[in-house]
Amino acid sequence: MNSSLFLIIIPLMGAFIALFAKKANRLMAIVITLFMEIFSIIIYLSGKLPVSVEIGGWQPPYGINFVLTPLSVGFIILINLAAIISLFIIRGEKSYQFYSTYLVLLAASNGIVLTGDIFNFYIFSELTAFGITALIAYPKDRKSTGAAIKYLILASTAAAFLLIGIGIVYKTLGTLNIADIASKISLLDPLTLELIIILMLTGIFVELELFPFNMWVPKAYLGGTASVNVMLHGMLGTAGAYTITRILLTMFTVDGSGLLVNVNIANSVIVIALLTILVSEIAAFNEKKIKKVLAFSSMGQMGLIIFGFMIGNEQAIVGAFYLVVANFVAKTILFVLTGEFIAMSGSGNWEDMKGIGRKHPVAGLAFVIGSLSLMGVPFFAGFWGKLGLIQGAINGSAFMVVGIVIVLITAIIEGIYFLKIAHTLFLEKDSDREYLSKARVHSIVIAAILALAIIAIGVKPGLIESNINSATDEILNSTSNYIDIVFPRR
Amino acid sequence: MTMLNIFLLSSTSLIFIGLYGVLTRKNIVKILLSLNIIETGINLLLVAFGYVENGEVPILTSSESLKNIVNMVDPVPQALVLTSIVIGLGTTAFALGLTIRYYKTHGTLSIDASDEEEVMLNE
Repeated sequence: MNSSLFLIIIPLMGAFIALFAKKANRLMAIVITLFMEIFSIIIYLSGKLPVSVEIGGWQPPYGINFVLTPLSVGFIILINLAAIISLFIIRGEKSYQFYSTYLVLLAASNGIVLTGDIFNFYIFSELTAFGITALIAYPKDRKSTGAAIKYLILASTAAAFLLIGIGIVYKTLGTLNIADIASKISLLDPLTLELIIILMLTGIFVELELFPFNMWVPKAYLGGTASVNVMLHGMLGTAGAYTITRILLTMFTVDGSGLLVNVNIANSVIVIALLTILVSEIAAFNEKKIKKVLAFSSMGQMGLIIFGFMIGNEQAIVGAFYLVVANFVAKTILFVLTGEFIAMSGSGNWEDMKGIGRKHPVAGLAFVIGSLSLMGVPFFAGFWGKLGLIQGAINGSAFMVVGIVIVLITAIIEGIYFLKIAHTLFLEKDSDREYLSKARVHSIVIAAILALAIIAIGVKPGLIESNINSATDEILNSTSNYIDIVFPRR
Repeated sequence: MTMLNIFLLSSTSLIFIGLYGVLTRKNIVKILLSLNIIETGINLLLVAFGYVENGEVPILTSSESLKNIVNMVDPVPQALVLTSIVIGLGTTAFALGLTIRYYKTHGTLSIDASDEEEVMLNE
């Protein structure tokens, strides 16, 4: 399985070659990303998972290792899928800087998911910050430059805390390997452990778009182009959701059971997640710019996912995984179509998009399907996520009931603002309207296929049930499913 | 006061001085300077974690040097610091490049300038 290193090496080499490839850049990026997607699917289906790849033959914890489990390779497949879609919807010619930084971003987000070493994780998360900053700043105008520099400052300050946390882990436990830390975590003094978890969470929360750390999110989505939005949401957001499963639910758990070591910190994370849901949905409600609406809704979904992961019982984690998949697919549809709608109407406000759904019924329907899935309406993929979340929360402590109330109320708020947009798209007429450009067929085809996937999962959740169950099992029994794979001889 | 305590004290104070700068300054160049101060503090902290009083260089040159292995400085934090210095350099260079464009597009180096514009856009 040493060939899994190609998932990181090939895009990095591509990033270098892109400097010389002139016109062939886009083709090269598409070929590389398609190769990575097919390669990761082959790895997933090969039946050799889970496996730990020791780089250079140095055994962990002395050397760096990559851990390939059904969970991590599943996330790799999602990340590369978002990468392909974002490449297809690029508008106009882009210079080599765009493709070069895109390939660095691809390598780094794959690296975040694959690595089994906490310092390596820090390096890859810094690299994603560079990549996404450069991509946000690519339009070279006022908005994007301001958004990019704010994100860069916030991300590097947060990463500084992450690095301090990693330093303290090394000082106290003498190891940097995630599996090794997870097996030794009970040896730590509770206060030191608390300090380490808080420092590391501060570093991770910026990328996770959680409430006190997320002022960069709406600016970044507004500053970037449609393809960069798909990358931000599909690659960075998905890698962030993986981070929660690996750092919080594998490294800092009681005997690898998926419950956080420190109950107080677990409860504070839940409070932060609920606040994120509430604040972002209310902010989205009054927003006129459609990209900002989607950015706030993206934050809200991230809060839901983290709430599900932190409840800690099986139903809630299954629900959270369904939400990861449903949110990934639905938001990708919305971002792809939003790019088209903005180019057609020439305005970023959704009120100016009257009647586009009548002109392009397939695109309009896909948009509605995506928003219904985000709301959690039955027979759409998001329903199974919210159902699992609420079932899990009912079985949890009394404190979780507050969470159920917030989840339900925000689902209604989300429903209202998405239906307002759908109403504008379909019912309001603007017959003598001249559109600036035509919708591109391949974007609509991508959106339609993804919309069909949402309905397929919504009607028949068994399609991805076995994959989600194996991922859930990996979190709930991480001793046998993660630590024993890295250290088989113990 | 041992050398280790001096290292720890000065590194934490560097980190907090830098943090104060990041949180209070408005000028982007000053914010980037403060970020660099935080990074220096962290580097010192990491090296201090591997510090051994009167330690030896962690290189095995002969069978004689094996006897001193207990007294050797931990080399891993130093490797981490080398990497983090490179990352810090990359961040600074990239952020300064962005700052030049920020000055060209906004006409000022104040971090607040892009917020004011957004308020105007929303109204």
